[in-house]
Amino acid sequence: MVAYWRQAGLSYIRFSAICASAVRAALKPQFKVEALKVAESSVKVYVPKAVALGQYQLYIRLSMIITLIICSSQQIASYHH
Amino acid sequence: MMAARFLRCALPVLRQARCYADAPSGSAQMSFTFASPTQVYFKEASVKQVDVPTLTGAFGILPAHVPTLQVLRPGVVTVFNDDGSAAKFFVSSGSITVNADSSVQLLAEEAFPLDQLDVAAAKVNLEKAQSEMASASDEAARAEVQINIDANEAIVKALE
Repeated sequence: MVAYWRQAGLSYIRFSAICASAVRAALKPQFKVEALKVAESSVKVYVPKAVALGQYQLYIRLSMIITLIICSSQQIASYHH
Repeated sequence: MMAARFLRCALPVLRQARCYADAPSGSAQMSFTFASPTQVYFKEASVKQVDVPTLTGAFGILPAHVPTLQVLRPGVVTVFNDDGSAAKFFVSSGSITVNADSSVQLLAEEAFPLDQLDVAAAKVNLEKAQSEMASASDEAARAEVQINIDANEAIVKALE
């Protein structure tokens, strides 16, 4: 039997996250502060902006080229043996 | 020669050698570990029984339980200690592993003793979630609201 949330396309990780936040929201005030603090700190969602990503593209391309050069030179070296 | 063959076949029976399955050799103790990311409640402790709520149903685990892997749903975990006392915790979700050597690991995403939860807050959240259901747009959003409703219902049920 498939669970309703699985059928709707949600994973167990998402199910677990929603349940955990529901339980945290039902804590007594003196415990809630501590739990929320810990929960927020473990996962920080960072969305990189598209502009910033463009700056890294040149770096990624250069490193790929360098890797290719090293690989091909190693192949040439091993071929000579 | 017939006698020799007869003796060879009959020898195991004469020797009283039998080939049954091995008797279960596990000790009569289970090593129980129960933790959430922030808190360890039991660490390789010896307990008599643990009741867990899983996605496929709630069941109790005794020593020498068949090995199994299950995922948890929001519900109450009851731990029966060796001295007869019972400790109850509410877990949101997580997994439980029962190994062949009777060790049990219950890893919860969030677990709190029942007295740290507030039934009034849970009821308020339940009503809020039920009213959100009407405004949920697609199936995924509806499922997420339904999960919230189920979790809050489980908290209210556990605390009453």
